[in-house]
Amino acid sequence: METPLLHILAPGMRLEGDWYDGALPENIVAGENTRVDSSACFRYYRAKGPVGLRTGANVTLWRTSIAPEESALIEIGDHSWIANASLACRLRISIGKRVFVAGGVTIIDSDFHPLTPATRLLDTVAVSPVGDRSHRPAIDARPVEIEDDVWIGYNATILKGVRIGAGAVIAPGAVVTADVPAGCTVSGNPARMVESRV
Amino acid sequence: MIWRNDHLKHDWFHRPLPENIELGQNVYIESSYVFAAFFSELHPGLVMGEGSGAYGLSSLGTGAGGRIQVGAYTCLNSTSLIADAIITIGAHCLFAWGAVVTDQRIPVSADAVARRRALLETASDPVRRLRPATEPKPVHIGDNVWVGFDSVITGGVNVGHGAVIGCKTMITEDVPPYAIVVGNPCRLLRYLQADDGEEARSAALREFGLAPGLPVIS
Repeated sequence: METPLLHILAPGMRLEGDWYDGALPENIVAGENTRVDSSACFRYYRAKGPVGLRTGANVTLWRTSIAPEESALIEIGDHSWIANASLACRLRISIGKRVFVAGGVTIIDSDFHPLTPATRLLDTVAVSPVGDRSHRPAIDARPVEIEDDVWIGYNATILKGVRIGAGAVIAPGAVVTADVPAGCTVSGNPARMVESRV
Repeated sequence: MIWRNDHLKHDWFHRPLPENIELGQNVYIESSYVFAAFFSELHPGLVMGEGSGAYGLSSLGTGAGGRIQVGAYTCLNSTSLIADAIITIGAHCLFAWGAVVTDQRIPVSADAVARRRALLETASDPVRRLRPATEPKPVHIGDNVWVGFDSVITGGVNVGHGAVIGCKTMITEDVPPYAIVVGNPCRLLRYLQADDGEEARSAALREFGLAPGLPVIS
């Protein structure tokens, strides 16, 4: 029998015919008929809390990196579609219902290194082959919230602390550094409003 | 503390590391694939300082006369460095995924003849060493510089000590020390406080049981 292309997302499962040698994490909660292509999506999944990923029903996750750090939570609402994206999370990333995330998108709730030069220098040693990642300096994180019916275009980037209002459109390649009001379209680096529907 | 690249014994890429490279102690090389486009004939063609690393799908590409220097504790995380002349990177730098440093000017010369000649010469070479279409200009990046993902730094640029370059930013002009530059086209956001002197560096190394005062390339 042919190996299925997409598998039902369920905690702790080993997927049939998976090219990546891994199991789905135990601490995930998935609604009905939510599907994933491979356990490779969880290669950088480091959540240790009771739930690191919570999805609604009918969600599609295609070769997407789901990367919550130890105490982080990623939430994805019903019918959202996420393909070839990177969700790297220190705190919380919330994605609403019917959100479409195109290929190459990066959503991050932290810059993952400190900005201050002395602290940043310390971090370079901590992450080096002879450092210790468990002793990294404190790094700022602010949750990202993406409301229902948002469309995010190819290679767009959503940075920390951003809230994207319902129905907004993020143009391909945009770098979103500030809140986007509901129904608006933004484009560019940094993203600027190109169309307002409010 | 000495750390070894033992996983290179199980490297998926079939070629050995080049002979003409100088690696300091505790240097991480993800795979010899990092050197797939390393054609330097200089000795050394690459120097990497103590505790630095080329992670993920990083690429260290050089032409015959190209040289790359990477300082101590600098992290290249799926970053491409492409040198036909010289790229010098200081110590304690962070390079994110998709970042590119090239000593070519980009967009390459408007001289279509030179561009065509470069491609034709490249095609006549069985291993397709890419011929430069412009005169390479050395790139110098100071210590403790942070380069965001998918950013591009082009030929002739100097990036000052402590500077931060945002994600998806194209750098074609010098960046002053401690400047934060972001966006495309790139703009200067503000300056950071210079608090990372020799004392801060020694303290950071001591914190992880490492000896301060190691030779730093910059």
